[in-house]
Formats: sequence, structure tokens, C-alpha cells
Amino acid sequence: MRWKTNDADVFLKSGEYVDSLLIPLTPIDFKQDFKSSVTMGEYTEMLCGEIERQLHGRMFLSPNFTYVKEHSPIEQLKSLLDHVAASGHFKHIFLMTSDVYWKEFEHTITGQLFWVPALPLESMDEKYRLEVIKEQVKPLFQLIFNDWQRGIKS
Amino acid sequence: MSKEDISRRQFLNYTLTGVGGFMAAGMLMPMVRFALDPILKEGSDQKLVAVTSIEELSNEPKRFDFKIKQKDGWYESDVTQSAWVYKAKNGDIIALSPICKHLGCTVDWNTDPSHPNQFFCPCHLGRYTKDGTNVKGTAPLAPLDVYDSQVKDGKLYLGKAKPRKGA
Repeated sequence: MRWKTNDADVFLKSGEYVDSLLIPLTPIDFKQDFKSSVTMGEYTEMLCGEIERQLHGRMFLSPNFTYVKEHSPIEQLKSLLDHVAASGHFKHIFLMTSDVYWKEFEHTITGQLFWVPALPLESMDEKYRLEVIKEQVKPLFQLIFNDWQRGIKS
Repeated sequence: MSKEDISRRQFLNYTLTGVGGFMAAGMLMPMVRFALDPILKEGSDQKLVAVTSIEELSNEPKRFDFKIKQKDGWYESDVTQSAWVYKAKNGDIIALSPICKHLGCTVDWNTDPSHPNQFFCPCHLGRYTKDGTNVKGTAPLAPLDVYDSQVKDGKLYLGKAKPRKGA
């Protein structure tokens, strides 16, 4: 599900089936890292879009969590995650990013971090691009399913 | 000359109104058509799209991706759609939509080891038999949609996915 009013209505009605949240973490930089931050954001968005498309009925795709790196966004992310936890809607939280900044916090945040380095997809033609994205998300699906499985057993 | 009871003034009035009307219509018609065109066209049924040659089909459902043009009023976009296609025992070609009827995840063929030869939805463990009928007791309440299909010159064409009645 996406951040749309129609999906929100479905969510309110059958919220108990939608227990997973996917948050894209995308940097904003208009200075020296401008281009790479755009590439990261675009790539993260494509991966999240494909995951949402396939798992539409259980995964809620949150709006991007955007940040300026110099402002140490980890605290802000933590407070967002606290808010999500307090809402009680989501049992499984996934974070998707191409920014290596988050790698060191992998174990301090509540949620599974997918760190996938961005590929320069802009030069590929569209069919090939879709193929690459599909291949890239395959292992991520496995991780998501594993997480869901653990939820059943516990 | 008893027929000539139309005055010069009347004659000119008629002709000027007539000619003026034609000119106005000539100017307005293209504008109106231009503005309404996408709406008028939208009523037509979605065109069939070539998906694959029928030689590639077997008894085992296989997934094919294809693109359709989706029209949303004035906005036209390419949308990727998928279909699970296989040949039934009687030779019919069956094309099922992969969209789970529960909450819209994408179903996969034969991926649940404990229930082989079924369509399986990973989100809420929904299952469908090979013909797309939902298995009772699992999450979905309706069978998978079926695409309108047509075979022409050895190629399979698919149209719209249509819902069926629940099992």
C-alpha cells in the first residue's frame, strides 16, 4: 500500500492484515554530493516500488524519510520509529537505503535495514532496467519472508 | 412573379446568418473535438496485446510480463502487467491475473512446498488451485481474474482481466 487516500481507506478497514512498514531513507544534498544523492534516492525508490507492487496487501510503503547528513539524522529516525512502534500497527519494519551512513547504526535501530548500493541505471534501456530491479529485490523478498516466518513462530 | 414575396432585407438576413453560422461552426468544431477527444476515445474497449507465441506455452503455468497503455482521462501511461498462462488438458489456453483477490499482492506458482501445484500468495498464505479457484479456508474470497484471450497467427493476445464469481 502506498501513501494514498484510497489505500489509507483499505488500511483502516483491513489494517490487521497490513503489519509491515517499509521506509525509504533518502539523503538530500544540494552541495558536493548532489548527483549521488539523487541517484541513491531514485534507486531506493525503484526498489521500494517493486517490493510494494508485489506485496501490496501486507506491506505499507511509507513516504521517504529524507535527511541532511550533517544534521545526524539518526536521532530523528529513532523518534520516527518510536512513533511507529507506539501506533501499534506494524510488527515488521524494514528500512531501505543506498546511503552507507546507516550501515553503522544497523543494530541500534528497531527494524531491519536493507542497505543496497545504488547502481547507475539511467544509462540502461527500460526493459533491462526492470530486469535488474527484479533481480535486486529477489533476495530482499527472502529476507522479508523470513522475518514474517519468525513472526508466526514466536 | 408571385413567388417573390421575400424582401431584399430578409434575403440578406438569411444568407448572412447562414454563412456566419457555418463560419462559427467551422471554428468551434475542431476546438471542441480537440478538447473532448480523449474522453470520446476512452469508451472503446481495451485493445488486445500480443504477449507470446503459443509454442512457448505448456501445461505448467508460466509468467509473462507485458505492457499496456493505461488511460486515465487525459493522462496516458505504460503499465506493466503480468499473466500466468498455461494450456489446459482440453487444449484451451488459460491466462490468469496474478493479483491476489484478497488485498492485491502478486501470487506465485508452486512456491509453497507444503501445497504443490497451487498458486500461492506470500502475504497472507492465500492459495488458488491451478484453474485459479480460491482454496476454501485461505484468505482470498474470490477466484483469480481471467484475461480475455485470443490466438491469432500463432500468437497469444491478451485483453482485460475480468473477475469471476466466488467459489
